[in-house]
Amino acid sequence: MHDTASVIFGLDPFWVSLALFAATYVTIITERLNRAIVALLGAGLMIISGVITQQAALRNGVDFNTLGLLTGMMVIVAITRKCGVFQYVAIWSAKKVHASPWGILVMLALVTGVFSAFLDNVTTVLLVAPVTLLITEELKVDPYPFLFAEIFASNIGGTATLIGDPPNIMIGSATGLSFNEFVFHLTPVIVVILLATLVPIYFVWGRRLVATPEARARVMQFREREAITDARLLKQSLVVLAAVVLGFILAHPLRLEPATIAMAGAAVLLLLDNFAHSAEQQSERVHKAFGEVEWVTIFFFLGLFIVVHGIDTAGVLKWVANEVVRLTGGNLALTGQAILWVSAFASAIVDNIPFVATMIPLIKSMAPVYGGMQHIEPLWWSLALGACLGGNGTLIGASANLVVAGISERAGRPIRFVPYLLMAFPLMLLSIVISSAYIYLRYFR
Amino acid sequence: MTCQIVMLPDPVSVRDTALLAEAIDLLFRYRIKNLPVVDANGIYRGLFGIHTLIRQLLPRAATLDEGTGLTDLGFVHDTLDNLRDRLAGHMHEPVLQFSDQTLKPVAPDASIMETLLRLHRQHLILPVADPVSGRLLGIVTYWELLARLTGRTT
Repeated sequence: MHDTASVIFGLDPFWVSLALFAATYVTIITERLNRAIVALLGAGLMIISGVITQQAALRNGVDFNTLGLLTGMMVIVAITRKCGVFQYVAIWSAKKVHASPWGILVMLALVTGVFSAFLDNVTTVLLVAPVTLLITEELKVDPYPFLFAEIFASNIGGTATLIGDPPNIMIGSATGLSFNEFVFHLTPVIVVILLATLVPIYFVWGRRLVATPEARARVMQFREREAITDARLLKQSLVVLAAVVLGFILAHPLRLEPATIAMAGAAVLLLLDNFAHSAEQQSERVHKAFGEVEWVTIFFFLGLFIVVHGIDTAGVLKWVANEVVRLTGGNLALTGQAILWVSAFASAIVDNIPFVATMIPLIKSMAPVYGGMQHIEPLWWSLALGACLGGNGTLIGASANLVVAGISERAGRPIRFVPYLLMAFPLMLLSIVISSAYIYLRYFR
Repeated sequence: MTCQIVMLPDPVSVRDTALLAEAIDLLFRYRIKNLPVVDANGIYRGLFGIHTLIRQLLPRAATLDEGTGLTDLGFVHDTLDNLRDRLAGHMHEPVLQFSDQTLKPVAPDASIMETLLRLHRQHLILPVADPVSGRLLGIVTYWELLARLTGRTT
């Protein structure tokens, strides 16, 4: 069955879809309009112009698995964060290194990296950055290196798993690659990259971070147990989070999609969190939990999926894929490296979500040339590493970067675009060099 | 009926160049919680008070916008000496730095209901200033309002 309706004025769907896609992208990049508005407008025009039908857009274009996984995890985090567990871990880790400034920087970066592997990056930095500001204020040291390291750690850590970063969620959903496969293929190199990133940070800032014994004593006086504001909710949240992660690990043999696991987890946690309350209170609490879902991101995805399905249906992506294959001479290793580096540079400049949304059908179109889907698996790892790690390159490369910059500015220590770029871009390149070597050695040697 | 009916004219104010220590002295001397800050020409610049002072004593991470800052400080156990040190470090800085400069004054011809709404929303005193020159004309306080409503004197 064809997804294409009849295009208005008898125009060629190839050019109409390409024009709408380009207009959508350019408008997103200019950031003059909210990205969700742009994506929904682009999607609407793709259907109204007749490039695709509404039925095809919703049935074949929109990846409800991605949307369900994102929404479910956002609800779980919205409830879990209320119990103070994230502050607890951050303070506990700071005290484990006896409040030494460099030790704290490393510990908070590791905590951010691990949290980001399982939670949304923005949520993670929203939880860790305020504690960082508190600790650095007590230590009377500059928060900048700490926040910088956390930005990097959030984007690096998010690359490690299927659920860590939206590009991975989209790749996993579109390809059927499991949670375990993401861990098996990406986590080893991510551990190396995170540790390697801390080395330059030490030489630039870390070795000069000094705090007085009195200041360190103040941090050591923090009582992390008192950061837990709701012990009952803490237990409930940890049980549900553990069950959800276990569900992701067992998803393949259980024949369950990640969205089902995340949504079921969200429903169970909502039940546990509301069971003891009256009907009126439940309405208010559930409304609040749903209110914390980032609906702008969800609607942005919805619109983008339709826009990308439009150019896919019109044959644009197939044409681009053929060109890429022609340029790389049909060499899979070279294609893998090209995807890695192009994704990294593109994600440093533009939002990696629309980029990955476009690349997924494009890479799928290459499968027949390389002998089927099973042979192009390394290309998905190249895409995930490039798109997620590239976001570290500039302050606008990823949402988490902007969130930390916003918090830092309000706390009186702004993170400026150019100074950030001068340190971050070479560090991002370091991570891509490591990824490049990893992809070559593991899949193509 | 305008806000002038509940306005206290010629209130105690503090110059924008005055030191924090001087402003705190004024709070104690007049037993008041808030002081309008004015420049050499009597132009309203901001509002200093107990609330803006307490904000300075809190960690910055706790005074960020709602939703991004720390919501709980139960785990921080700074002593009174720590707080005293923190305050002492600011005593010789200009009071304007510790003032809320975002609080817009009301015009003397603002309606009584508008004045009431602003008081309700801000939980503070309301500075009244000339909309053209910006000169401070007076303040509206809860006490002044309550006195007029009940026929008492403040």
